[in-house]
Amino acid sequence: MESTKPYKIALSFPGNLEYVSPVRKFISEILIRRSFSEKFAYRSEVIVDEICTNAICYGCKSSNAIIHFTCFIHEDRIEFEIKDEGGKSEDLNRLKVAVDDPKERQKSTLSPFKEMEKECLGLEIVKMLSEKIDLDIDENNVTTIRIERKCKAVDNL
Amino acid sequence: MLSQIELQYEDIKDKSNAKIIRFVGDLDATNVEKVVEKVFSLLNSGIVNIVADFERLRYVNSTGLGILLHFSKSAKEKGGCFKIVNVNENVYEIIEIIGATTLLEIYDELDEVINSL
Amino acid sequence: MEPLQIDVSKSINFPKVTVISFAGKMGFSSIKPISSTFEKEINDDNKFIVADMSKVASISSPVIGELMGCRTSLLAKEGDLVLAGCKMDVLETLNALDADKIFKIFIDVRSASNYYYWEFHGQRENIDLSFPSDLSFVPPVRAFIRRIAKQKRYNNKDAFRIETIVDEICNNAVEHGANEEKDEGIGVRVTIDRDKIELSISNKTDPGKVEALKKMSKYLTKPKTSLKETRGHGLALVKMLANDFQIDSSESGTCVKITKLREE
Repeated sequence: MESTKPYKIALSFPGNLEYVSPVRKFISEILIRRSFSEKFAYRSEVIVDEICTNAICYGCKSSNAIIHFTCFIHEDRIEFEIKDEGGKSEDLNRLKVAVDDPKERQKSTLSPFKEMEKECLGLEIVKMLSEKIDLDIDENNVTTIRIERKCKAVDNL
Repeated sequence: MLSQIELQYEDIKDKSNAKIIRFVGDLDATNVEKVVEKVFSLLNSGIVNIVADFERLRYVNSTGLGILLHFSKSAKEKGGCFKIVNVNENVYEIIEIIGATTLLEIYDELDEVINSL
Repeated sequence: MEPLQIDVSKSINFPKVTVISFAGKMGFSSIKPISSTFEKEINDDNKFIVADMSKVASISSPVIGELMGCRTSLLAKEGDLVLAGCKMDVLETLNALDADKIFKIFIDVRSASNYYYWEFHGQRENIDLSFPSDLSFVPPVRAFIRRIAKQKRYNNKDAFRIETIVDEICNNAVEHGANEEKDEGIGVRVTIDRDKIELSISNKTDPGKVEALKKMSKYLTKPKTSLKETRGHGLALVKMLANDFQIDSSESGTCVKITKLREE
């Protein structure tokens, strides 16, 4: 059992793509300062980018939509939680498929280029770079994604 | 406003329809359109062989990779090529995860890619 | 060829923005319906129009010319026509005709609407951040807020000054505030619009530091600017850089409020 509490950083920002770059760099810099390797920080930065971009593009309906992002930094792993107000049902269904069906879609007959055109590959990257990804959609469509990424030997190579 | 990316251009000796573009900074959803505009400007002006030097490209995400694949496709359609060189380890990993290493022409050395044009 | 589909809508969330969505191929035959759609919207005094191009497969040069004409009419009424969600093939055509230098092009309708509200309707945006009371978090926090200022088109000088202010206040908050272990000990709210940034930085007070804080309180009302003084320069610097500066300090906590006007 882990002996110490994780560091917690909580952020709320408007659903506007302009914020994604500052947010991902913020998290990456914090991880480097907390002595995680540059590679670990870079991979985490990619995760943050992809989940924030998805939340803004598909999970913001109202003009004042806010993205709630929380990062827990443990000694050996990090956890991200991102919450948006929920998007259209077709986007939510797409999200469910992307999260719940880890490899099947990737191995479908579509070429990677076609996949790219479908703008789905962001989550594929997230899945490849993390150990755990959970999706929760409540009755009001408020969508929460939780991601866990462990620090492994490969991150220090 | 864009995330920081700068494109620097360099002519290639004896190859009038080719140029090196050095990508400096981060390529993401906030600046892909600017990059598309600049690269298409070259392709549409007859510079159809493009060498993208990624030595100082620190970061790329799935949106950025999408346009790289499109540049490659567009350049080929125009009878040219879009070749990438000096990819750092982090960026390469993202290209690899997406499975685009076979779709993009990636080289290790600038001399090597110039000789291949 | 199937006719171009045109749909006009107004977002409940961005009521001042009219979205004209196109679907299909924007060829020569679509000029007339495009023209009459825009004419109606312009006559109805809808000045800011976003052309949603996300379902447009291709665009011909006469249509681009028509859109330029519509934009000119809107500019004459102090409005604008911007494009959103263009596919790569459409972007390539726009580029070939240099139209990408004329139209503002956004990744999606939402980004276009945000731009309009930010530039013309004084839209304010809030960013809330909380982090542990630990000095190692301050450099990323100050860089984060500097980057937001830069994203929002504040110049380098303003962004640097804002970074300095955040740095000084957060360092003080960590040094003099309660150490909440790894919880979110320091709270920062950034409110930003086209003309100014307001910062509100708060921390809880460590009961053991109340006396020291009282001694320090002289710096709050009269920050030291003499180089011989070893303490209090941070607040002096903040006071010089900020346009407005208030501190509300009590035994439960301290909240510093700063306003920094955009200078250009």
